Amino acid sequence: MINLKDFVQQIEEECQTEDNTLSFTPKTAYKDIENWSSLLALIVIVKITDCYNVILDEDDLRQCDTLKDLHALVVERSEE
Amino acid sequence: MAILKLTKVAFQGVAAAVPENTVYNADFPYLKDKEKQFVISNIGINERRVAPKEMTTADLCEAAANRLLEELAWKKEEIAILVFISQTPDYLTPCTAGVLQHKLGLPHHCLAFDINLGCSAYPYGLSVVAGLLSQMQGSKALLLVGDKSSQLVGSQDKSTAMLFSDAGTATALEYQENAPPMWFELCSDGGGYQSLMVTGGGGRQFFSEESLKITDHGKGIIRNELNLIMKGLDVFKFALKRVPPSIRQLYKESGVSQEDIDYFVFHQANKLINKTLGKQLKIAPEKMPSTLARFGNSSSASIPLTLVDQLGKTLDKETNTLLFCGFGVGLSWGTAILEVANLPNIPLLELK
Repeated sequence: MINLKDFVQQIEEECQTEDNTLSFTPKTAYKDIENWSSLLALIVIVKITDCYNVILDEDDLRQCDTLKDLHALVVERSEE
Repeated sequence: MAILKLTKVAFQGVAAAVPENTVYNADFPYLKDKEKQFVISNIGINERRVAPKEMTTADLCEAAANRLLEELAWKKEEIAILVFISQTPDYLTPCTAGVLQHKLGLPHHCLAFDINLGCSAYPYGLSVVAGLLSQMQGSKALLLVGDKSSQLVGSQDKSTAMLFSDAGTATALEYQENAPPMWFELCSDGGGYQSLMVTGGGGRQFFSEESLKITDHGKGIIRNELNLIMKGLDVFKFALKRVPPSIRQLYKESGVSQEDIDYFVFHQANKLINKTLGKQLKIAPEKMPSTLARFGNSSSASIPLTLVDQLGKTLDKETNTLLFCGFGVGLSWGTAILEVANLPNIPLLELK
């Protein structure tokens, strides 16, 4: 089982800005952060691939608004 | 399944040419410094080569071919095959291979034609040339592969402008009775044709005034219909999903194991993609040479350019087993496994 708290922390680390101002919770709408870009999306996808062997794409991110949604999708895919 | 085992063909040498003109990503004017640094460190591309207006892919390939023929001391009379692979030919018609056959002074009994492929060009091209050559006793062949991507990329398109670089290459192959076999797996998924494409200027969307109209697609993506569209995340998912199984399939078919391979020369897409592929396949980084930092993504030329720039000094000494893997526009992907020995070490050419 993929722990939600660890998952949120992993994504936070990938998205973190230099001044360390980001603090993610399961409810965070990660795509609304100021530094979100297609490259950052790619970095998040790489992290998820590395950690969970689940390969997401743009449509997957589009349908997941919060980190909790994203976590649920990764859990679902990893069990397939 | 397109699995090929081709025999009686030896890989005899490779040369590459790039424009001397160097562009630094740190100077890219359409991003703030912080964002620019973030992009550069993640795509792993610091510098790119951009050809001047009058220099085409064919010019780069021609220079590489002449240098290669000189180094091998091959007589032009002996060349029976010339294949040119590019997405940036000199003309819509005729094919560039014919023009190059003439310019290089190759004989009329040399067959010549173009193939339109990008990132998968090298394994595909080697298979086509080796397939023909294996039936042509005593013959020699040239495979010319390259792209001038700078003519396709919108200079203000944040999603592509910092990635691509121009290069042209030439590879020499020769009929040889006792040559070790070359193995290929070649695949395609046209369902993903929109992931990397130029929509305008072809038959479907003929060139018109509209073609030149610059449109702002938001998020720093500004381009016209003649510019390359790249859906980076789609390409990434495609590469990760398709490349490792393709390589494993070829291990199975050829009986060559991952441990037998001395170097894995992958298409140079960007650092994120290549690093992730290496990790997925558990390939030691020192066995995966890269030219991304200095030459970015040189499209069809990236594999032979990496051979020349990174492995030139290694390949001239002993026998090495190499794996080439190209993946991208099409969508199209292919893997080749072959043995090379004592290749001439031809330094990279830089054209003014």
